[in-house]
Amino acid sequence: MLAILALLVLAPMAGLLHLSTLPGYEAVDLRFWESAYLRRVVFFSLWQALLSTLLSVLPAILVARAFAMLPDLPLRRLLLGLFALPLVVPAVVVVMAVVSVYGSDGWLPLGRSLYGINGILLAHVFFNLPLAVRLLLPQWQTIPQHHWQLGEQLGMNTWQRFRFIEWPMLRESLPGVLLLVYMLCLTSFAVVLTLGGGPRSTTVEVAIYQSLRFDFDPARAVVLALLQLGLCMLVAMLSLKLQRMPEVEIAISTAPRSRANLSRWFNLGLILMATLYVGMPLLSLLIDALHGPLVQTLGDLRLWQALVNTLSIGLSAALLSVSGGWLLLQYSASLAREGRVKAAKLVDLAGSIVYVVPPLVIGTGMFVLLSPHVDVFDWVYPIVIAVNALMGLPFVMRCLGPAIRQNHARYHRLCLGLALHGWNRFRYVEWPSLRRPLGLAIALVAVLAMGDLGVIALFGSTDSTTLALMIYQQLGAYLVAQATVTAVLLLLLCLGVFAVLERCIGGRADA
Amino acid sequence: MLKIEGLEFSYRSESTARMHFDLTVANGEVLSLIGPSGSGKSTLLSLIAGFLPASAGRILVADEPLHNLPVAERSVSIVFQQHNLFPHLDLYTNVALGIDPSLRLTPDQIESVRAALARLGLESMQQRKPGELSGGQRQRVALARVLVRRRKILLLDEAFAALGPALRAELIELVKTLVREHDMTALLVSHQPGDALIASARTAFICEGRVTALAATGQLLAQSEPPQLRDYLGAK
Repeated sequence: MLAILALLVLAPMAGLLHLSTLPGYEAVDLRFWESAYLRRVVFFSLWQALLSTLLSVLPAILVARAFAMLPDLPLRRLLLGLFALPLVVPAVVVVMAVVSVYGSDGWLPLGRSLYGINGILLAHVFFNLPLAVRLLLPQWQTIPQHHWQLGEQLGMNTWQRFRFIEWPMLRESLPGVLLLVYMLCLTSFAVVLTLGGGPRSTTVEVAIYQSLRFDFDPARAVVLALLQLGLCMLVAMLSLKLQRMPEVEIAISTAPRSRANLSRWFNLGLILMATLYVGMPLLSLLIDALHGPLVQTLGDLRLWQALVNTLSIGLSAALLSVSGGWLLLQYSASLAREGRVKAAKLVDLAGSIVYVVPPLVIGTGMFVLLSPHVDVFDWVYPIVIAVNALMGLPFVMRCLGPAIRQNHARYHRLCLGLALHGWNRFRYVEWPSLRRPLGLAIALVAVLAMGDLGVIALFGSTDSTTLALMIYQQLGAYLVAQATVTAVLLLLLCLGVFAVLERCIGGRADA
Repeated sequence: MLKIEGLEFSYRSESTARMHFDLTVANGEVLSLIGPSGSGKSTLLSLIAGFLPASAGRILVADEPLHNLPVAERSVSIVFQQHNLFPHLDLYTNVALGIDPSLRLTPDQIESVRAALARLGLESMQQRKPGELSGGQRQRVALARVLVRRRKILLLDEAFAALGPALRAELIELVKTLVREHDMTALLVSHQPGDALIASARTAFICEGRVTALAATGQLLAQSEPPQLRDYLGAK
């Protein structure tokens, strides 16, 4: 499995490098700092990621704190559910939702200034503010109840409580959250591609796409890919160094209810603003779609073909990704059991490292490698599925990893004693405890693949399309109303598939 | 003197009966509270400290009502079994917070923090973090903070439960001395009847949210009534 993984990640890069040495192509020139274009692209990538991270995480601290201080808030679960939505909403749908609110016909029109850094920031904050809230909120629950009581007894005011009780907890998890969000913004593709609005707002990820799709300059794509790889590895190494990454988990906080009226209203106001920020674009998108050319768009047979393709890609990628992740994790757990902890960590790392390799590079490399042997356009879907399965691997490792390791630690000896192996071990020991994380992993990877606008944008055509690509094509043809309807269809499909997979595989939440 | 009159409380989410407490503790006295888990011992301490709101009744300290005051204004200090200290702060700061959470201390106050730490045998450890200390030392730091706070009532909520018997006995003796030296009144919740024997002349048995027996400690631990006390002590 490790060898396959290495092959899938490294071979495409080698393929691109090889291509750039062929006659007719420019040679790879790694002195990127000598190119004003590349310098600008790198600077913009880092700058937009920094701004997006700060604008997402800093307000998220306040909003998460507000949720923690209001454990008795009516509709709390519903609101937190809304904050989970951006995790499963495809980026291209978010783009449509942002355009729906802030576009020239939207509720809060920004006009042309939407396209560029403004639009990118609005969309990134839409994605990452709720994610950061969900990551940070459980941290308040790690504060011992006695610390709150001591703070109260010692007469600490809000600032002192924050300084002595909350900040020390936050300080531990904040770097991890900041780096995760930074990484997500650095590798963001669909948002920058559609809302970037031109060369001034191009990131490394989008520049790779432009190099391959429009300029077919594999040499520059390789340089850009190596740059992206370097940047992502730097962020990943920092994350590893800082270690503690909170789990996404929501439960009722044990923090004291905010008693002072002013502070309660302030917290309520924060939650309301964040809810509006997240809810308004989706609501506006739905309303626009209902007023849009529903019959005409839904009557288009290509739309349904795209829907079938989307569904097939999502489910296949999820199955492939979870199977691969399962094998890696079982191997890593058995290594850990044998005391080979370093080797086990390496296997885990291998499963997550694919995240730092741009999917476009993998897809293009695969294409280049396969093209001498097969008609690659017949292979668009397998390539898209393979790349999405690879990209889903880190999520699978994260969802399933803790549960599999715990299972091994707890039950391996018992299973040996009872001679439980194979199917019986899976049925009686692993399935009951793993079905929930397994359901979550499959559902997550499926919707990520269904909403992906990466490799499919590179090789897809009007004949081989998915709903995400179709939205992009409709936007390109200025068919915004049709794109809105398609976006809502994709949104509903993703939510439906997520709910069905999570429920069917994971079982009921209270099971 | 600590006087608790008709103090009532019930957990909203539970179908348990309403708790009702009446109790008087003399000045300078250490009173032990024993009883089964969930009987209401810690709830009583939380009501006195103000962490939980009583639905009826009064708490008086030296005849002054306490029950209407905010938590910070009550003449009460509490020591829990764990999490008494902020792990990222050194011992000096942990104790100094007891005087002023803004940490703007006068020279006299700084001296009183140092003196309290010295009194508890921790003068050489002021710069250490709680994680570098043993369980017993951590509870000593919590007691040092009690000293600088200069409150009349000291509540010990299973404060020494995690320690071994010898250390527990040593710290209980220390508490008795501090209560005497600083003219405090203390309530000590414990699961160990043996602790009560060391700690206090009188002990109250709490069961189902009420003080069902109150007597001299030796006598209480020997008596067979009420039946819940007999069951709790495992007497035949």
